[in-house]
Order: sequence, then C-alpha cells, then structure tokens
Amino acid sequence: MKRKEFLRELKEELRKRRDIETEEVLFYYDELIQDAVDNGENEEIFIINLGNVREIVRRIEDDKEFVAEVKKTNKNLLNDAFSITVKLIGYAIIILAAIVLGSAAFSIFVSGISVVFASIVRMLFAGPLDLYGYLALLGLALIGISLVVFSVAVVKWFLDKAKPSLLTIFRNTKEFLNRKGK
Amino acid sequence: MDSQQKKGLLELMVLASLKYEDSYGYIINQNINDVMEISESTLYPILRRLEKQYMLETYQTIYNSRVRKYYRITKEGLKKLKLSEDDFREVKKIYDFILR
Repeated sequence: MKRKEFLRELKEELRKRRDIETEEVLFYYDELIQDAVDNGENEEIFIINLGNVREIVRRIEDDKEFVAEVKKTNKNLLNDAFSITVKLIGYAIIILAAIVLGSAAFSIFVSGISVVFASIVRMLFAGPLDLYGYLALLGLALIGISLVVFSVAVVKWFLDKAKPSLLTIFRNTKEFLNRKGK
Repeated sequence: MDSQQKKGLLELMVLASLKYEDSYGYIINQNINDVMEISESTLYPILRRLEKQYMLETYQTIYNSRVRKYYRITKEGLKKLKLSEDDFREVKKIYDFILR
C-alpha cells in the first residue's frame, strides 16, 4: 500500500469517530511516511509496519480517555483549593440562575405556544380571511414556534453548562437529607 | 515488561530524547527504537498526551517544500524529567541490589 492509499483508509476510519482530531492525525502519519521514505526506507514495508488503521485509531481512542482523566483530576485539585464557602456561594448563584432562567424560559415557551395556538384558532374558526390575513397569521405562528425553540435551546444550553454543578448540588443535598433522616 | 509500565517509561524516554535538542516524529521514533522496540503508531498518542499536559510544545518548519512538525520540551517537561531522574537513581540502587 502506498502513502496516499494508507492516508485515505486512515481518514475513513477516523471519520467514524467524531471526537478525534482527524487532520492532526493525518498530518502526523503523512509526515512520518515521507520522512521514512526520504530516509531511504521502503514505503510499502514502512506502512505495513504501521499496523492496520483500525488499530491505530483504537490506540488514539484509548488514550483520549486518559487525557480526559488528566483534565478531570486537574479540575478536582482546583476544586479542593476552593474553600467550602466560596463553593456554597457559587452553588447558590447557580441555583438562583437556574430559577430565574427556568421561569423566564418557561414563560417564553408558554407565550410561544399560545401565539401558535391563537393563530391556528383564528385561521380555523374565524371565518374567511384575505391572503394577507393568512400570511400575517402564518408569520405569527412562525414567531410562536421560534419562541418555543428559543426557550428550549436556552434551557438545554444552561443544563449543558451547569450539569456538573447541578449534579453535585443534587448529590450533596441528597446526602445531607439522608444524614438528617438517620 | 507490562504495557502500562512501558507506557510510562515511553513518556519519559520521549522527554529525555528532547532534552538537548528539538526533534520530529520520525527521528524521535528512531532514537527510542534504539533502546526499546516500539511500533511507529505507538508514539503518536504519547506525543499528543505530553503536548496536552504542556510537557511539550510544537512548531512547524518547511523541509523539502513540505511542513514538518517539531517538538520542543517545555519547562514543565524538564521538571518532570528531573523528578523522574531522581526516582530512577533510587530505583537503580534497588535493581543493583537485586541483580548483584
């Protein structure tokens, strides 16, 4: 197998895993093979010795977990460095943010739904309209739909961002309640 | 030697191979292969891991009208290397005792 073919296979294998930096890996192997050839090695033999692409990708993937672990331990160290007070204030702010954001998103969601509902009702039951009337109602319904989508997106975004903290709060509260119960 | 142990040693070998001069993938591989036999595809995850841990940094140069990525050891990497060198001196004493 020649370099181009190997790189194509590797690319295909990498494309199946979205969380690996494809270009970086391809670049590395491209450079490696060209350096080997410049150094007088046989291209095909060198490529055979690289092993099959699935194995290569698997190794990178195994290591990804390690990288994630390193990041996590670093974060834990940082957390430990914070005093409990700071943490509690932080959690209070997160909970407050959750309540405020949640109710705002909820009201936007409800108003979105009602706008859609109102325009549908108007279209169905309020007798014939001219073209502009229908268009206006359609526009209104679309505005309603976008409000709904927007509110859901906001909540989802917040949950994604705050998920680790929220889970910690949840776990701590549960522990606290359990201890009280005993 | 078991693979976990080998992995840890490989990291240190990469750092050690960059202690005095910057280098690139193919040559790092060759240097290490003189001592411990590894396949070429073993090295990439290790280089990347060291880079993510800020032990190595990279820069690119043009060679033969193509780009080549060079690796350079950072202060952090040198610190790690120094620590392990101290460890190894201790371990070496123990091995010397066992193998005497």
